[in-house]
Amino acid sequence: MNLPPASARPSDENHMIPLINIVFLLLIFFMVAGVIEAQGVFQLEPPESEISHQVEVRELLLQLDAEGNTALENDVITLDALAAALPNTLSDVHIHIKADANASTADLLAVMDALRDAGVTQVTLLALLGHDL
Amino acid sequence: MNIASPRPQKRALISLTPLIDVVFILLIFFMLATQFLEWTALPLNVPAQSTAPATDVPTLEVRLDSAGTVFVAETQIPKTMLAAELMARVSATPELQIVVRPDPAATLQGLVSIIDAVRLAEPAAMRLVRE
Repeated sequence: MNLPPASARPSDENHMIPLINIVFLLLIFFMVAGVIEAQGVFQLEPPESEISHQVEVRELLLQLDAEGNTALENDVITLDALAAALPNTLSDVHIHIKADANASTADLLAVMDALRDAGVTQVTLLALLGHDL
Repeated sequence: MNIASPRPQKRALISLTPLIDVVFILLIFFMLATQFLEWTALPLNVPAQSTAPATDVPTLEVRLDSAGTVFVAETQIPKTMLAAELMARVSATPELQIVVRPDPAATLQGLVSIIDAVRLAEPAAMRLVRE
C-alpha cells in the first residue's frame, strides 16, 4: 500500500482544540460562578444558618474570632478603641459581623454593646447557608 | 524573474501553545482563589441605650443555657420543637416580642440556631439581652 505519510503538525493542533475548548469553559465557569474574596484577619469558622437572607453590600466588616479578638476590616482592634476607629457619619452605616461559630455569646453581646455605644444602629451577623433541613 | 509564489494553502497560524499555557495558569488561579460559600445574613436589633422596655407589649423569653439547652418561658423545649412552639405562640399573639437571653458561655452556633427558629416564627420584634 502506498499511504501518504501522516502529517504530524496540523493533526496535533487539531487534537488540541477540544481540550482548549474545555479549558476555556472551565475558566469561564470559575470566573463567573465563583467569588474572589480577601482572606480575613482571623481563621474563622462561621456559624451555619438555615434561612436564606440576601446579604446587602457591606459597608464595614467586623470580625470576631473564637477567643474574642476583634478586627475592624483588616486591623486588629480592641473593643475600647472601636468607637474611635469607626467613621464619624454612622447614622446609616451598616456593619456586618463575621464571627466564629465557637465564639461565646458574651463576646458577641459585648461587640454589639460597643457598636451601640458608638452609635451604630444596623448590625448584621453573617452565617453560612447550611442545608441540614 | 522566477519568484516563488507564496504557498496558498498554509494559513499563518499563531502558535496555540503559549495561549494554552496562559489559559491554564488563569484556570488554576481561579480554581484556587474562588470561594463557593453561600453567605446569609441575620439582621440583629441593636438594643436601645436605655433598656426600658414598654410594659404593655407582650414578651416571650427564650433562654439558652451554657450546655445548649433551650428554655421558652422557663420551660425546657427540645431544639427541634422550638420553631413550632414559637410559631404557635406568635400566631396566638401576633404582637409578641421575643427576647433571646443566651448564657454568656453558650456558643454562637447555638444562638444562631435559636435566631433561625425565631425568624421562622416571624414575631413583631426580636432582641438579644444579656443574662
